[in-house]
Amino acid sequence: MTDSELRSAIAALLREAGIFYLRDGNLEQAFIDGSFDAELEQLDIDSLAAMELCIGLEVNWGSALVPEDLNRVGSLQSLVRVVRDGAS
Amino acid sequence: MIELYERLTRGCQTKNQVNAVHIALENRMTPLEVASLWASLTQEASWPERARRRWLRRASKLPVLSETVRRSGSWTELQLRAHSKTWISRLQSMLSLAGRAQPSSFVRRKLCHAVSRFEGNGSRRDKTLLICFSGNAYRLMMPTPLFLQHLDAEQVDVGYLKTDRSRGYRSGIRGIANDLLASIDAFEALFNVRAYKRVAVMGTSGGGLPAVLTGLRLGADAVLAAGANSPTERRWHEHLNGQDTAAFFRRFAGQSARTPAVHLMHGADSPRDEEAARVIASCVEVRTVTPVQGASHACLFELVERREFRSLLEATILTEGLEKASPRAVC
Repeated sequence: MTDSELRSAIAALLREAGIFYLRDGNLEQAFIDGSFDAELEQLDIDSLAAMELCIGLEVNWGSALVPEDLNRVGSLQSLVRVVRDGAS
Repeated sequence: MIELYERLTRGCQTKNQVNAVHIALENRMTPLEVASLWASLTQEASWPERARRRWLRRASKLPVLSETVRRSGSWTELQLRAHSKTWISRLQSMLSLAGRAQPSSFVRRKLCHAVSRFEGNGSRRDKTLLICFSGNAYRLMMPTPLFLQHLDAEQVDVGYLKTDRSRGYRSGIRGIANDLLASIDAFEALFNVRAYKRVAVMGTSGGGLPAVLTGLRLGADAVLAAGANSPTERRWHEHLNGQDTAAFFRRFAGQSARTPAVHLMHGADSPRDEEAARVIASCVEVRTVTPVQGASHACLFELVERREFRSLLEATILTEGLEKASPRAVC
């Protein structure tokens, strides 16, 4: 899976988890291209969405991230790196 | 309840797997089930079990043993058990936000794949039927037992609907019909609408607009839609059948004998939801449009935390038309 494909899958996962920051800001394509980044704390992630996101990351890529870890991840592109490195 | 919980979590190896179970349970449990599960999960363990857990915790701190202990299934089980206790304790304490000393006595009955009824004692002739369209996350911006705890089970029965995430209610309700209009028309038989003293409809997020349309179709007494989508969004286009949005609403309202009191709410920090409320209000007669200050999309949970949700329900959908209490309109 290329980085672009991974970012595309994560963008879809964010929507599934009810995190609409990228969708509502028309920023999904820029994120997929790698030209846009944002701190996770900007994304208005509530506790349910955090759980949904981590469940999706684990189901799709075997990520061991749990909601408490998201604060330490930092940004969206960092999340992509964590998932990619964990999956490789 | 504890047997079901044990069965669901038995194979879980990670916190995320347990969280998936918790989310599913938060979407369907009643307040009584929360109380029961809380009592079971927080119950003091027997002394051999307590001793075993104490030994594991101590061993995990010893350099020689910590690695072995932390890799063991017992350690994982201990961690997940603690996680479960934290979750149920949080949910149990959340129920107190509704301001009731005792859990509401709702009992759940599954009517079909996407529809459940939560009901309590009392004759339907004296009760309100509250039809709820949950949003994408299968909830009304809060865990289902927390929502139910704000209602009196002897005065309200709840028809609870959920949708497949990728479809929305636009293509009907799974197990009922393949389009929204036909699904609403099936509610009469499904919920026995006419047996109730009054009918109200509520919806959040993706369920907001279907709630308004259902209220119009059934001639409900009142509708509350929070964080609703706009009918001008692309996903609704094919359902407009080339009509403008006002005509679309009229299509649903065509047969009902009365017009519901429609209340719209949105987070003041959500321009998208504010715009959707404006569009809906331009198409149908709306009683109130209320921005919730300090809230983004999940505006109802903000009101729960401020302990204002129950009074909101009473001021909007639980009392409208109560004084008239005329027979139900026939659709």
